[in-house]
Amino acid sequence: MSVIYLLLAISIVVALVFFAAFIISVRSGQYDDSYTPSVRMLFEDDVIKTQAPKSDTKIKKSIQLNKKQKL
Amino acid sequence: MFQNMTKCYHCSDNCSATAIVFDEKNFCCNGCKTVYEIFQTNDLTYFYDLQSGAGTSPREIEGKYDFLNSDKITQRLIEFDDGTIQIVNLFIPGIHCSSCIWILENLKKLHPGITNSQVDFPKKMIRVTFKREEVSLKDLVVLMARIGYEPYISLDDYEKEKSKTDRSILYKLGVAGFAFGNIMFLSFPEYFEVGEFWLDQYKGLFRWLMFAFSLPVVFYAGSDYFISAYKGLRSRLLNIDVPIALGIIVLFLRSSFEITFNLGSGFFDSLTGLIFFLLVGRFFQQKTYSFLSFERDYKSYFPIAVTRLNKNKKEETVQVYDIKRRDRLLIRNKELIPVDGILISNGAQIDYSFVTGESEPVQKNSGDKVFAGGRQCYGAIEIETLKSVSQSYLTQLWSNSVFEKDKTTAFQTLTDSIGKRFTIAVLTIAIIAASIWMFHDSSKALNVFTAVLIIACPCAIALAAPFTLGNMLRIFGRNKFYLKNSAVIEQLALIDTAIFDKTGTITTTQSNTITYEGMELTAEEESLLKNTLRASNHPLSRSLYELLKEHNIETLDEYREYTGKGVHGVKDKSDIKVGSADFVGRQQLSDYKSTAVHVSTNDLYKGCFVFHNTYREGVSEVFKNMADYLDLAVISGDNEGEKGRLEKLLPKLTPLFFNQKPTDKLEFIKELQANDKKVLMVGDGLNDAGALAQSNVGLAISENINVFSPACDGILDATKFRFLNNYILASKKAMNIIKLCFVLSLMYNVVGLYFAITGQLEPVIAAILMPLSSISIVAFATLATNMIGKKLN
Repeated sequence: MSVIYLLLAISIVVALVFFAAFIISVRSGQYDDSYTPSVRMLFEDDVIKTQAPKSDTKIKKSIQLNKKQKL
Repeated sequence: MFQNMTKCYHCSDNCSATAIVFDEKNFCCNGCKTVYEIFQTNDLTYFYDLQSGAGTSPREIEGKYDFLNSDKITQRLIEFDDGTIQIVNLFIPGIHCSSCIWILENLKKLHPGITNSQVDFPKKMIRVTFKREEVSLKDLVVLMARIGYEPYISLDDYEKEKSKTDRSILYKLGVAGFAFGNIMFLSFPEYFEVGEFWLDQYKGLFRWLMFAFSLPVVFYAGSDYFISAYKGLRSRLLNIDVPIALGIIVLFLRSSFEITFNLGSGFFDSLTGLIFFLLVGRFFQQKTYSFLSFERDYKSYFPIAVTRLNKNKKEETVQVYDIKRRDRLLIRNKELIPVDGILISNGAQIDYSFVTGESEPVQKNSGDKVFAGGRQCYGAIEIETLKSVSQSYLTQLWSNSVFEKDKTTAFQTLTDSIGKRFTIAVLTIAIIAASIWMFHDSSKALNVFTAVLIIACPCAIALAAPFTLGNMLRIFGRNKFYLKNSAVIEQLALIDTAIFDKTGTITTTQSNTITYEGMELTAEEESLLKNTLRASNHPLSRSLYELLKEHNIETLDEYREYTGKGVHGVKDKSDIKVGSADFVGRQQLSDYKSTAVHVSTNDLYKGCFVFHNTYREGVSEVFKNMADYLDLAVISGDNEGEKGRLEKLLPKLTPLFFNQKPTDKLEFIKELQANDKKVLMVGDGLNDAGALAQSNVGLAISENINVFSPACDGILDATKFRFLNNYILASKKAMNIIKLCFVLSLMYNVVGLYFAITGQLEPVIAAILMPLSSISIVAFATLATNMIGKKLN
């Protein structure tokens, strides 16, 4: 049953890894602005109006949803 | 109502008859058209697909940013500079939608020198990385201004130390949550007291692991509570953090003691849970409106630099702190006068609305004194300075001690006043219970004493206020009523006197009511009047022009503008004079104190247009409802011209004070407070800044929350003014919710105390009772505040 030492050690290490990940993400400023990235990910790269008319309606819809959260 | 309902393709404003058609799209002005052209040539028209008409029409910026040529100034603004790459953070009040984010993050397509730009939408900030060789800060600012996103750069940016964001609450929350979860996990076997051999074998290891996890929680995450309790005790105050800190210490010591002597598993789960929940409450309460600033003083209003004319009459940029006496400054149209001085040029129109509250610009001529804070409204003027910036009339207001005081520290919150009685009650119960046990079974006395302190730890009480007020703060925010922090709600619920400023607060600056008095004008005369006004840029001419019916555009035979007097137009031998009373040749003096524009045709006096303030929608209703439970007064920097109308509008016998200087307003409030009044001040401009700071709650009314409001406790969007009374009543209800929460949590405490006093407090009971009470309080507070929120409007 001494394997429990190993299991405990592993579980704590795993927990610590996630904890460290959290600290790093806070430190890098990920939590400073929790709104803009949600809008940014909906933009398409280099959209030229004539080439992507289809996807636009979709984007519009989701952007409109976001509008409600607008401060 | 509108002659033409076509909307501008760029900014969605109504295009007047003079719409510009370009590329089959309508534009309201050349500025908007130019922005469209810029976007079109750079393949950035996706901007209009995201949200139609989201743009802002660019403003005239000629020469405005010349000060950015000075290295000394740009160095203070630029955040990072390694010789080739520079990074700058700029505040852009115009950011309002997803289109804005997109276009600003694509700045690099507009100029190859820009390598990266990132928008922080809640803060309305943009962070731009650019190559120093290819683009200067001035070019960058001008570029952004040209596409309608003009950065707001003020003296405040120049002075500000680069502040680091405080993320300690997130770290603490992370530490507490991490430890809480792991300890719960490790103490799980003990909850069921299974006598399993192997679990029994490793009990010690599990317990010491829990002890290790609890260390950072107590000494790091919970440190704020010890500090606050210590501060409270030192100033002889029993605040709510005293029983909390006491509970944490007792929990930790007793748990450590129990595991050291193998007496039990300790209360590490409850201990970390308690701190975790408390921190969650604190985090929730910390709603900040990062795009608003509640600390602004004149510095965020003043420019960084102005134009100075040196001895050879050459223009040079000078930082405002470097302005000396007897310097000669050039103040351009719409620029702010930074220091007191003497006017050199003639015909200045100075808008003092921010300083004194007077609504219309005043006319000044050569030799007149002008004061800092005035805005030049028409053309460029020259002034000779009399003082330096810090000694000017306006800036001296800020040397008043009221601006150094921190209001929140002096105020005892409801929770803290409960905390005092609570601490005394808990200590009494603990001592009585322990002394009774001394006679029965002295071995258990210490056990009972600590159990009482543990179970009575006012976690739920401490959570009631943060969640109620935190949620209320968000609800208010959604209703465009932005408060600095949750303590303002408590203060607002307690007020018994409300003082209002007039200009800009209960009147709107957006429009005037104009009435005509005198002989009726014929159709020809009206047409002539309109055509004469068309050419004039004076603010009064503009609003009068908007009012008059549409007439054909005709070219005048002769037109002259006499600065500061009026305009003179001639067409087909009929001539018209529009302007001040003596300019048009009116003999008898007007008994009006209100602003008026007089008209005469062919040297015959016709009549005058009188400009009245327009009162905000619902002013009289708000006053009527508030008069039921508050003492009201209006205090204005303006003259008595509006007295009659105000008296009709407001409840009878509402005290009205006119011609009050900024310091008079401050003293007025001080006097009320000396008579034990809790004063709410509602104001709008710099002239109210002293009164807003002195009052118990200072609210600023703002037509556009992004532009400017003086230091205050809360900002109310002008469109929501008529709900002010509802907001005050809602704060009162919120306080009642907190009181109900206290009753609820005391009931949990009674149950817990039963177990504690009878000596049966098992860790598992504490581990159930504490989260249960906390969660039910949080749920009740949130639901109840949401109910209030629904009824708000």
